[in-house]
Amino acid sequence: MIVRIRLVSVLIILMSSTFVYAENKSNGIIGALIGKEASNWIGLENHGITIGGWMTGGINYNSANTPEGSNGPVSMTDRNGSVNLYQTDLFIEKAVNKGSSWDIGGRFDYMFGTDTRYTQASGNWDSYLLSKNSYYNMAIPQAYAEIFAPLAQGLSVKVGHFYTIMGYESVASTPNFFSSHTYSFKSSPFTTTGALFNIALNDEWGLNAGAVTGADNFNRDIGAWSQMSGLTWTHSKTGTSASLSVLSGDVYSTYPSQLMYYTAIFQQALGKWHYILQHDLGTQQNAVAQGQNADWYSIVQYMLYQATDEWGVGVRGEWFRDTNGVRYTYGKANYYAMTGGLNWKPKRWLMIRPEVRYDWSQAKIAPFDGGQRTGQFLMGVDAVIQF
Amino acid sequence: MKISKTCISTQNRKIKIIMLSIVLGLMAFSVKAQPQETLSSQLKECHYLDNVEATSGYGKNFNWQSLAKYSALVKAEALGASHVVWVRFETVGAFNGIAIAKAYNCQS
Repeated sequence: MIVRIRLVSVLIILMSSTFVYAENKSNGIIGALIGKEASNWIGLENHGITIGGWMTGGINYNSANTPEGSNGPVSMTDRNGSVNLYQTDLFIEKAVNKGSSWDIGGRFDYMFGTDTRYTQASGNWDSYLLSKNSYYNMAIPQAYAEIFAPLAQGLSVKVGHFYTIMGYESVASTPNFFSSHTYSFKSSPFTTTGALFNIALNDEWGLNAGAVTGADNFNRDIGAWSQMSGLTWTHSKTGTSASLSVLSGDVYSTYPSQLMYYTAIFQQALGKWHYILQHDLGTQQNAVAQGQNADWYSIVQYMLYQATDEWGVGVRGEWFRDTNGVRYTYGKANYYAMTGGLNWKPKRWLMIRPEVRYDWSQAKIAPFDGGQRTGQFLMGVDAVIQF
Repeated sequence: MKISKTCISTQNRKIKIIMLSIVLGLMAFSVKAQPQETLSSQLKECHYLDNVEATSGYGKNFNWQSLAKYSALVKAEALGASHVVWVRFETVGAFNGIAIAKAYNCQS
């Protein structure tokens, strides 16, 4: 309780500071406060090294007023009626310069908060940094080295632990329009470990290909390798983008357990409007008892309107099909969710995201309010403060 | 069982047709941003308007430069620009970034 009160106090202080400090072009609150980025303190910026981070905290209200305080099966923003620090991420990065010469870089992210329960990797990595039962936990979602080679239109390779190329929504809060996440997002691979090559074929086409240890895994069943690849096409004159990403391979080394997951994303910008269509499909060999395979798939659509640099409004609609009841624990089910929200950026380093969301389902077991309801209404707001 | 599979197959086909229709429909209605990309050395009889800065938007985006470029071109067009000169591209995280350009209005 004391921790929560302190967190709220910090949030209020930081948010009120937006009205005090002078405007400048810094993307972080530290730069805005003292006019000097954190990387500059010890001269790291001269070497192309960036130190930064962000903090995301928010609250949700569930109309069902669930006794356990759970908004599940909604993930991440899954607590009702309490302020939570979803994530604090601190990173150090040396981005590779994709120019005409070789370059080397890398990135390390440390994360603390309630979101980390969902983002930890199996194996000897970040799942035992704190007690597994701790609601607030820690994760190291990225720790990789990157090399760039000026071959063809540019070739780079990441080696280490990093975010997958799957999906539109991100574990990191900063690129997401909405505070809450889709069912599809929760069922997609977040991180992986291995090597990932990226090659720019030309200005419009990009190719990813890599060998990894599977979804959300560091070194468990190290003999079971997966391939992760993707093809992206974008057109800067029309604002059109399409991509297909695939991750497939055995989950376990001791028996046939192939996981195949793909994400297809289409984006079309229409001036201030932006439409996104995402389709995901996953299949898992021997996922259910008696050796049955399982599959799940989804369609998510977003329509966003960026009225000004400060204000955006958007809606999101999702249908998620859990054919065999392996992604959630309510049996064979269809989940639907409609979300509407605002995005307010009063400062370059501050983003506030209020939203309303209605979820409903057709499931063997009622998924909401501890098995009491087939639907739920949520209201939530969070703030993302970048350092 | 056969009926069930046929139903699922029909449903999947319908979904794919609807999705494809949405994609093709939106692409047909897309509007090309008008300003031309050029180099500062190639500017002739041009009037500098302003710097424009735009992000690649929300979500995880590979080839984020193209999406940031599009947003910057739309902003430049709103200023009445006929040409833009790219200043730089700043990476933000693994999947996003910012495009910064100088917007010009040129006679020819």
